Amino acid sequence: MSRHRGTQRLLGPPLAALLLVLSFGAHGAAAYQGSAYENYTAFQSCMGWASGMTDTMRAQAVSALAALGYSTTWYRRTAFTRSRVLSRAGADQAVYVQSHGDQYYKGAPTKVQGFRQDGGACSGAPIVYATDIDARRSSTAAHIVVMSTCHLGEAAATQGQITMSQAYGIAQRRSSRTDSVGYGPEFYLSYIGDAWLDDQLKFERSFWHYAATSSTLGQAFDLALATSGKAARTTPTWFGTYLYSGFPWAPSPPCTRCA
Amino acid sequence: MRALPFPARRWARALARPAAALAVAGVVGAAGVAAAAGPPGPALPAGAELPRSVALAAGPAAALRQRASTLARAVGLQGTATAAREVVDPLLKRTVHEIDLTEGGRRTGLLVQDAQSGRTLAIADLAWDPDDDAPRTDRRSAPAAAARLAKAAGLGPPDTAPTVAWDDAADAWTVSWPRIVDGVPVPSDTLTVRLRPGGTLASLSAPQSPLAAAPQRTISSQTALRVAHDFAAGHALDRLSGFQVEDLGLAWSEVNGFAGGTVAFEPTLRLCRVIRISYLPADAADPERIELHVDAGTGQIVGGDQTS
Repeated sequence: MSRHRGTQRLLGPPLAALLLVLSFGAHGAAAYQGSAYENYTAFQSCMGWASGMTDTMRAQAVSALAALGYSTTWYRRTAFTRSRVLSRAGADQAVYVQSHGDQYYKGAPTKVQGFRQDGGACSGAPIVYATDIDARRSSTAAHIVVMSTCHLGEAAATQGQITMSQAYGIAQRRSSRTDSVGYGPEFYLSYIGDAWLDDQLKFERSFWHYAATSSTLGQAFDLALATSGKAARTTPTWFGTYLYSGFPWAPSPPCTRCA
Repeated sequence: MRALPFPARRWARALARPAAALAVAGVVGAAGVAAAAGPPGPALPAGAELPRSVALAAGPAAALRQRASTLARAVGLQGTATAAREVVDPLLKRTVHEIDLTEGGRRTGLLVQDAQSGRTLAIADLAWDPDDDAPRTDRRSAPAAAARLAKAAGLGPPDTAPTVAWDDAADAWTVSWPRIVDGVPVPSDTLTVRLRPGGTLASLSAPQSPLAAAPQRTISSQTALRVAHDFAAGHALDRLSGFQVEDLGLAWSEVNGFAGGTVAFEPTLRLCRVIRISYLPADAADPERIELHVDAGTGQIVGGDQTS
């Protein structure tokens, strides 16, 4: 290692930490809004037992999103409601949802992608539809959206209906693995078909680990596929830009917080 | 909008580690950045911290790099092994060695080995080349190509027919061999080789969990179903619309704390009867499913899973 590079390695992390603390102080908690939602009631209270899995998944996401630089607030039980999600949807730049998801009937035979709110209710929990979110978003894409649910990585079951990724401004397309621009700073992760909690926990744990340390979000997806130990029956998928770093200040120009 | 140019991304990457370190130290939390403004509850359950890296001594790290370079060449990966570290996962109770491959300053791949045995657990290629997408492999030829790569990695695939599927998200053919021990499946330990359309390795996954001793006598299907019925009735699941219970048979299954109050993974699998409970919620097009891992020796529920 050259002396120059050695100096960089020695001084880099403390300097970067200092910059990070100063920048947080300057921009405050509202700079890059993130929201994480956990349906605790459906998976734990209503079942009459607690597995702890949804707590762990939500906590992993909050921890990683914070490390990436999003001011992430999390909600569960009575705080995770349809109205809460929609009130924050317009400003969210990072979103994590752990809940039941499906292509629900919204006036048969039309199906629309959505997820259940928690709300503390064991049955008939209202559904947050992709159409609801789309109505509250501008055309600007969210940076990171992870729908830790069944079915929300699928194409629309009813032709012409908007999907959950599209509701957050992320089209169902994937950039090349070498295109450094891609579709801009956007990445969507969810599942096709049934997703099983144990597999989701392992896959997302691995994804967040790599995303928060050394990899682009697309690489983190591929690394999680290879290393997470999830069973084959759970099928994650992604849309967006493979080489997007995940950092919220990526949407330059101007990139005022970049060196 | 444009993504960051490379130098800026390097800076962004440089910020990630200190950010994570600060979050762990509580500094970020104090600044309100990781504010958990939801209802009361732990931000991160004890033991659920993300995996952490531990530096290795120079000698063992060099030995790992040397082995990894040889392995990388054997499976056709670009780059040389430049960094090796130990990664400890406190939740899954796993310790592995990770070795980075790099070329020209960029990471081209990752190899993961079991920290104790040195067995290859995963390989991922991160250096995509346009020629990788030339359609030289198809559903018919993929198994043989995948088997060759598995053997090159020191992992003889089972002498059984694999399943083959195209995976859009991985941009790869996925060839999978289930692990079966004495006729009983081990669902968590599938050997999977992902191939680019051109036939090169995209990634390889080869988890191999230790197995507990099989019980001398196993409970019957009827006994396991009764355990599941009692459990369902005790939690009022049997009153849900479309309630059904079925025995999926014996499997080497995970102990994960499901229904036990907290996530508690054990690395060793147990022989269980897997009982599936399903029901259909209002408005839903698909049923929701719960699986219980009923220990085939004791009849106790030791784990489980649920669809979301």
